[in-house]
Amino acid sequence: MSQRNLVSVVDDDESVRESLPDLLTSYGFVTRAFDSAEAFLESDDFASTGCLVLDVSMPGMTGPELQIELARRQIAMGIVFITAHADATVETQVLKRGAMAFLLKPFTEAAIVDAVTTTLGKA
Amino acid sequence: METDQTRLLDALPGMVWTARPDGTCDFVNRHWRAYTGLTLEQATSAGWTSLFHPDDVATAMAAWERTLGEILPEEINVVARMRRFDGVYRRFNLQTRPLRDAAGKLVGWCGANTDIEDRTRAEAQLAAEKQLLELVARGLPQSRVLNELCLLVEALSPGSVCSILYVDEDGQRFRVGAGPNLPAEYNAALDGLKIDPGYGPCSLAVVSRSTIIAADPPRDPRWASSSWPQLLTGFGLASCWSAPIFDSQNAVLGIFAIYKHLPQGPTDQDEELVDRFARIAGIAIERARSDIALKAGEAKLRQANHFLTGGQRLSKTGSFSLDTATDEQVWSDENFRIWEFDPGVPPTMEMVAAAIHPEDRAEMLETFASATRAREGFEVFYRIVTPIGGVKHLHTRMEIIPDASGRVMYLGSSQDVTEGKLAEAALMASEAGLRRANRYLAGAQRLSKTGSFTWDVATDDQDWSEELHRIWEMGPEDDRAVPTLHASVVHPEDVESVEAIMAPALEAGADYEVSYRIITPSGATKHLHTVNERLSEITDRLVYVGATQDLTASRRAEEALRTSEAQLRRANRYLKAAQTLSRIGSFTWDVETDELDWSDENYRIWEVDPAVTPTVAMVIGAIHPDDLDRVNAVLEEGRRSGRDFDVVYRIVTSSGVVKHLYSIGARIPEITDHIVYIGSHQDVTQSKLAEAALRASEADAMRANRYLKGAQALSRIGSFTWDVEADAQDWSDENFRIWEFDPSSAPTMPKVLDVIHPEDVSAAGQAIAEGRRSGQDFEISYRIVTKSGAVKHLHTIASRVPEISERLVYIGSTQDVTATKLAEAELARANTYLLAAQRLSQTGSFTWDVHADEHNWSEVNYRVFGFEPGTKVTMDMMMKGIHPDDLAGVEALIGGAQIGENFELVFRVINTDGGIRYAHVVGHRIDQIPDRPVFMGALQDITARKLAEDDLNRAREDLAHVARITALSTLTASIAHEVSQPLAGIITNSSTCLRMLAADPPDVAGALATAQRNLRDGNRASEVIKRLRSLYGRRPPTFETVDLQEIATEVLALLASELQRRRVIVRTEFRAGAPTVSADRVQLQQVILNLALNAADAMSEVTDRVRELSVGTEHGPEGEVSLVVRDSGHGFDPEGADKLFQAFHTTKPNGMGIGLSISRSIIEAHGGRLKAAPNDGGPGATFTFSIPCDPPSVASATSRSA
Repeated sequence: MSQRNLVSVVDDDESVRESLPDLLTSYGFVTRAFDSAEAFLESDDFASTGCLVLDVSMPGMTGPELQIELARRQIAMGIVFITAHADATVETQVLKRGAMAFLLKPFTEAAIVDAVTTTLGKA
Repeated sequence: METDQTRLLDALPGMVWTARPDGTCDFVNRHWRAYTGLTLEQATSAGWTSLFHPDDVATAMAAWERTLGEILPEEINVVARMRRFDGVYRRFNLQTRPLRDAAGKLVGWCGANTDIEDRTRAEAQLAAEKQLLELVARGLPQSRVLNELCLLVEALSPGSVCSILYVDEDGQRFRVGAGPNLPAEYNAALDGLKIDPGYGPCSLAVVSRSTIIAADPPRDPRWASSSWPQLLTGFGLASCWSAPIFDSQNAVLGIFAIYKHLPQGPTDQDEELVDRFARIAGIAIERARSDIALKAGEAKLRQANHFLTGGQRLSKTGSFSLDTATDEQVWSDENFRIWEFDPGVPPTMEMVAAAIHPEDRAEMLETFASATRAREGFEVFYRIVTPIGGVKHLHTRMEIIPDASGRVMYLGSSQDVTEGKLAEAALMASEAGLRRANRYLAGAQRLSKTGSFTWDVATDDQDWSEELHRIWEMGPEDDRAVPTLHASVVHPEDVESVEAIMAPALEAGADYEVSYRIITPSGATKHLHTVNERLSEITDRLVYVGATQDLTASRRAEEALRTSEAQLRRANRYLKAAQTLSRIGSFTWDVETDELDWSDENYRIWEVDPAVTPTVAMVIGAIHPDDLDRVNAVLEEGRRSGRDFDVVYRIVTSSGVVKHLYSIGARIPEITDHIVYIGSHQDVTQSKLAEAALRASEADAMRANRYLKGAQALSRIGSFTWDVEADAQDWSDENFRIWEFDPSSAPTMPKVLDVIHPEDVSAAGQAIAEGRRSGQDFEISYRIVTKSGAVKHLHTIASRVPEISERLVYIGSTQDVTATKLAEAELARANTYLLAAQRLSQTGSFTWDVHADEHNWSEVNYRVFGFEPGTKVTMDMMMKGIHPDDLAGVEALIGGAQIGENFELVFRVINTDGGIRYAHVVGHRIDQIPDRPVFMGALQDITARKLAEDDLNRAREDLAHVARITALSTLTASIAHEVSQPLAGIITNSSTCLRMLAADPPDVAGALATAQRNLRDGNRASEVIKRLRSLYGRRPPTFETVDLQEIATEVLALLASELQRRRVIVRTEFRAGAPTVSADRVQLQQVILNLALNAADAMSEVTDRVRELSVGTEHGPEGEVSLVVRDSGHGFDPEGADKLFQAFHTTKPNGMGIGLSISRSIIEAHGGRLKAAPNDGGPGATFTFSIPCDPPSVASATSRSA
């Protein structure tokens, strides 16, 4: 379990990809950023990812689709969804499939840090 | 045995019991016990009626007692509800039979209870459903149907209170659909309630799209933080089950809820009931919505009608709608005003038809009928007669309103174009008059190449016309004695032949004709032809009058022919082209065989089919009867002598045209054994006509040329001599023709005076008497009435013959100037009409001498500028009044006018009273003043029209703005997303920044980097807002230089998130270096936004292929720039392309149907075009708009934005 402490941030938005890892790093988390779900899947990092911070809406594979794909590959990892688009249906679905949290952008520092901490704690 | 029977009965699946003859129950089987939860003992002690529903006990008891009382009891059948172990009552069919022994004695009872609860319930539900669907089908109001639904469900499920809520159009709030038995206050609390899954089960049902059971809300953690459970219990309600209502597209319309007064969950039956009736509620709501949409469409139409009214008054346009099925017509106020109908009386087709002008009625009704049959719009001009007898010209356009029910409904507009029509008619009439007069003048001014003279042979006194001087290039002072001329001017080679002709003629005092060349003082060689006739009045000596025509042009061709006699064919070929240009045809004529050979141009001149071989008979047949003898004589002479000939004569072609030909024939010298001529025919009609016209105006030339019969006939000039004392008159043939007198009897002055028009006779008589008395030359214009009844305008010039001194003899000419007079009269009429038209159309006229700054104005011009009529105006005064924005255009106009360029411009004038007037000015240079630019023109005050246009434009802008906001409103979610993204970055960065600064030691470099990112993200968010603000804002259209690619990119940026959400892939194909256009940025963005959103909508159903939106620019061949938006959606029927652009045409459930119509009007206001086409060989459609990239000129920009 000890090697699964990586926090992977997958978001097509550059602002988030730049800012969020910095913030998490300042809390001592080890982070990695990816601009698409495909890029994340192609990398070797998901083996060590303990917490996946995942954007819902992206061109190509969406966040929920990545969640399903990971489940299909039977890779269990805690997922914290982030989105700029409030959609209760999606929220219900991803939570039902086991997501740890569903955060609406812009989120507070406390909210994301709590969610990541909780997720890694369970992993 | 008994045990066996017991076991057997226990094994039966139904509820079975037995009783003794007195009815005391002695056995119940296992099912019975299981159902009731009671043993036989318990049941007996409680009394079996205690199992029945209290409402059913009386019925059951009555049946039982009646049976017991009978001697031979039969089977009893009763329906009653029995309580189950859990307290639930179910309906049973209780069947009880008497048991008898072999002797028939009653030994007991056996009963079987059949559970009919499910069946009964299903039947009741079906009946209720049927009843509701009937209500829906009958189109009852939604509230009524939903109320009925609640009441029926409450009847089916006792103890239930039903509620129906539907989701508001904005998808955010509930509205109460029905809740007849819920407390009114509770309903009021739900109405307008925001949908919030944390509030209560109804909201959650909408969001989760599933049935939500709140059996005991106060203890339910889901509503722990909600005020709803308290509200519920406050009204004495204890539980709520809520099911979503779906429409046919599976969208949630609302919820159907059942409330109970006790905390409880639903039974299976309850759940089924809720689901079933939620479905029915869905049908009812959907039906009602489509009804409302239909009504809203109609209301929109009415509103649009209302909206148009303002613009209509100003532009004298009325509008109306017409339902052809019911003849229901709705008219705007202006329409009533135009037709002068009473607005209180609904108009009918019959009334309309009766008001149409009788001459236009049949055609109008036919147009209408065939358009209605074809279901298409039409446009028609016609007249109406108003109730007080006025005639108006109307222009009506009617368009079909798409209507689902298949009725033909029209929306139309009628414009009163009476003023325009009158002005148009007046202008047309006056223009025609002017043209006619101009043609006449042009003809008169064209120079003839014929000069005339008189020649007294004995004294060699010669009197030359001006033209003759021009031909010979000699002045009156030059020595023009015949011997001098022969010695020094006539071509040396020709002197001999001239003298050969002249000498015998002079000897005999005979008429003669001669062709010869002269070499003028300037050195030019000219070919002349002179005709001399002896003046018969002068008997004591020889006086000739003659005409000399300069034939150089045609002689040259002849000469070319002669110099190349040896190479005849080549010359012929060479001549062909020249002939076509100079209207000269050539021929050969073999006298012996009478064979003719014609050039192509010859065929054209004679209008003979080139396939036909020409014959001499054919030629003779075409010659004008009056010239036939003369031509025959010439031909005969040629045939006999082989001498060259030339002759001027008329032919009448197969098309009835009279042409004047000049023909020359020259013998081919190489052919000696017989006579063959080569020659040319020249069509001289035009110069002949010109010559004739000239003579009419040149009195000097006329005086000397009186006796040239041919010329007279051409110019309708007759000539005469008049020996005053004897009243002996000698008339030329043409004179007899003009007066329609019989040539065989001598004309006299009384006969002449007799046919002069009564109104003119005294003036004419006076002029003649004065001439008779004084011997002075005179000139008079008068009318005659001929014996055929024709009125002719004549112009007579008479002058004394100076050679006859002993008595008064006049020679003179009379010209028939009827055509001229009529043209003048027509022009005068046209001018009057023009004045009236000018008044009506607010048009003034002016002349403008540019260099002298002299202006001659009519009243309208003064009014436009606000100058006192009659004031002497100067350019300076005018320039002070020109609107500053139009000064550049006016200055450009003046610059052009100074070098004589015609002009046309629309400009504004600030009147001296401060008001703004719009003027449309047109100026044409007057050709007759060649030395400096002088213009004649018209100036129209178009202020009223411009103001009306302004109002219409404003109304259009309003509509465009509303449409833009509507389009943007669909983007709300995406825009929130666009702004939230950078905000997320900003907040995260700020947190990071604070932490970096608070660290020990502070990470300043990191903090700087994060702060910088904040700046960038902040700008990004503000960009989104800026773009939106310009689109949301409203301001008058502003034309500026716009790069289509740039604005398209901006729109796509705004749409990026929306398109991504809709899974649309965007591809751009911008052609590099496309020129900019002059356009309104926001309006063009609106069009692009609209096209892109339409494309996305068109692809919303696509699942089997990529949803691709391609946006590109193209640079067209005619200097236009195009923007192309292509999608891979459902496309459209090619025949429906035009419909797409009609207002209120929509294929989308929430569309207003004005997007494309507005887009098209925006593009057209930019001078461009918007087109739609289905994609070639693939799904989807392509919308393209093109805009000319040339910046519009000052003038047109003014007229566009004004």
